[in-house]
Amino acid sequence: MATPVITLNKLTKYYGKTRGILDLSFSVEEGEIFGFIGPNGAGKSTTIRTLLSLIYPTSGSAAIFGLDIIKDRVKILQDVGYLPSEVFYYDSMRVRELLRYSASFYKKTKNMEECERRMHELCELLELDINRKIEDLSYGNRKKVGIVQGMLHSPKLLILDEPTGGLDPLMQARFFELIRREREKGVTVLFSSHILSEVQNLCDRVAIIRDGQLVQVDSISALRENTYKRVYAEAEGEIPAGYFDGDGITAAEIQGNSATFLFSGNINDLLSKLASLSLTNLIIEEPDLEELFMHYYR
Amino acid sequence: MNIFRFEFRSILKNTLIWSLSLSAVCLFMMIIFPAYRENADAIRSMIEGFPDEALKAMGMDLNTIFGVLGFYSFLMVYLTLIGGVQAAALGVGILSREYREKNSDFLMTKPVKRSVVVTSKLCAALLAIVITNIIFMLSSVGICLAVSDQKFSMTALVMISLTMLFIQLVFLSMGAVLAVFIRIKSVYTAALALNVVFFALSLVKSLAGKDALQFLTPFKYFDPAQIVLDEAYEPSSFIIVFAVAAVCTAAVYIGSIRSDIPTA
Repeated sequence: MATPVITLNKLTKYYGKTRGILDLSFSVEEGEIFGFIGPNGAGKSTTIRTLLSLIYPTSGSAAIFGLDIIKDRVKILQDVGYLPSEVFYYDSMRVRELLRYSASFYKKTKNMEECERRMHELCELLELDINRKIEDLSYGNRKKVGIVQGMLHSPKLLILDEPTGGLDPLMQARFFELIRREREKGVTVLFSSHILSEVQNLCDRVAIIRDGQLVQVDSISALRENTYKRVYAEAEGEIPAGYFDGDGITAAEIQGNSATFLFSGNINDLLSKLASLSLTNLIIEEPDLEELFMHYYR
Repeated sequence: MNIFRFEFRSILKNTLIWSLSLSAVCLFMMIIFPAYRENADAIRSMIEGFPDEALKAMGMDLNTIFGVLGFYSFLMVYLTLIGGVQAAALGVGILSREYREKNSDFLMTKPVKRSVVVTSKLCAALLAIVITNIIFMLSSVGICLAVSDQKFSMTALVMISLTMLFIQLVFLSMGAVLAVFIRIKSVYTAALALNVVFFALSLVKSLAGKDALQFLTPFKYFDPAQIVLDEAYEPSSFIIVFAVAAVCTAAVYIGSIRSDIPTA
């Protein structure tokens, strides 16, 4: 069996006495898009920053490409592309200068002409003007710079921390397409997000983290079975108390003629139940992760 | 090498401005020397009324100040203060840059050792200091030749001028230590504070006159009057300069390599 691209073994990080991550153990296989999901402050970025040796673990260990993340940091980073959640670069530089500076770090192991070609290809795909100054770019365009600088050296592993923030829906679609193409080429992707839908659409497997601890690692198909929807319904008359008590319904709150609850299960059962009410408004949406975690991953 | 080139390019313009400013200050101050010497008797009688402590604190030595080297030495008290601010700002600025601009993640996720990052940055800053001193020394020589109609020891002038380099070296390393161990947001506030503290200590040393306090502040590591007399440096001056720089540099490497990179 091939060595996993990423392996975490009881990885723990404390910031002084404050918890970062606790005893995280999971692995990411070669060529998969691995979602890493959790509410804000769950420890996603801490995990990623530890894997990249930006911060040192308090205990435990981790390996990338079978190499120790601390001892073999430089060797590992030759083949890793990283997009941080917050994108800050040298403001006075032009995009072209920054990207070439970024490429210059891979001179020893990569073909610079290939990096240059890839830089132009990615900029064209993401419609990024390389002649503009970083300080003049919007947040979305800075994010594009982050994507290009993280991918121009054709890394074997992409670590993406909340990569879609700031990108408009069209760009998000292009970006997801780009990630899928990379996967087809054998690139492994660690995709951190707090947006359930984008992880569901893109990833093969997912690790769920909460309060610094791993809640579960599962395939996306298994996650889908447990997918919750937030339902908000308004009826013409008063909704009887306990009307929404039943299978698949949690956190129901009824106030007069409106009700809100989380639903998981056969959607047809829900629709039948709703159909017996004379509705004036109905909203079915994805609950935010905080909510989902509060009610599901207790 | 790419980091060195990048960092050096970033500080070059600033370095040239500092170098020319230092030279300009030197010129504006030295330009009054001929008038100062022509009226030496009047000025001497006026200054003699000052308390000794005030003269010492200002760096004035009535035995030498009416010669070009003595006057230049007197000015060096203030020129090294300016040079100290430049060097400390360079040290603070170059090593806290990514922290201040919140882009540490960019540099520190590249395949390069942290020690190489530090070395590249320190080398770029060192080169900037060397360039500053070449410009300052050439300016000083030109200015002194222009304002003096009497012969003076060029060796002594060059040696006094060179003390700037050593003092800057110390402040550069101290600034780097500040950058690594304290999260600094304002480079010049930190650099000024560092210099003001040590300049105040140098005033205390001048007033107290105790040799033991000489090594408490970089501004007193070298004694220009002694350099004029001996045309040589005290070995102890070199020892303290390189000891402080070495300790600070070691602390910078240890701090940079072992510390967590703060989140943007």
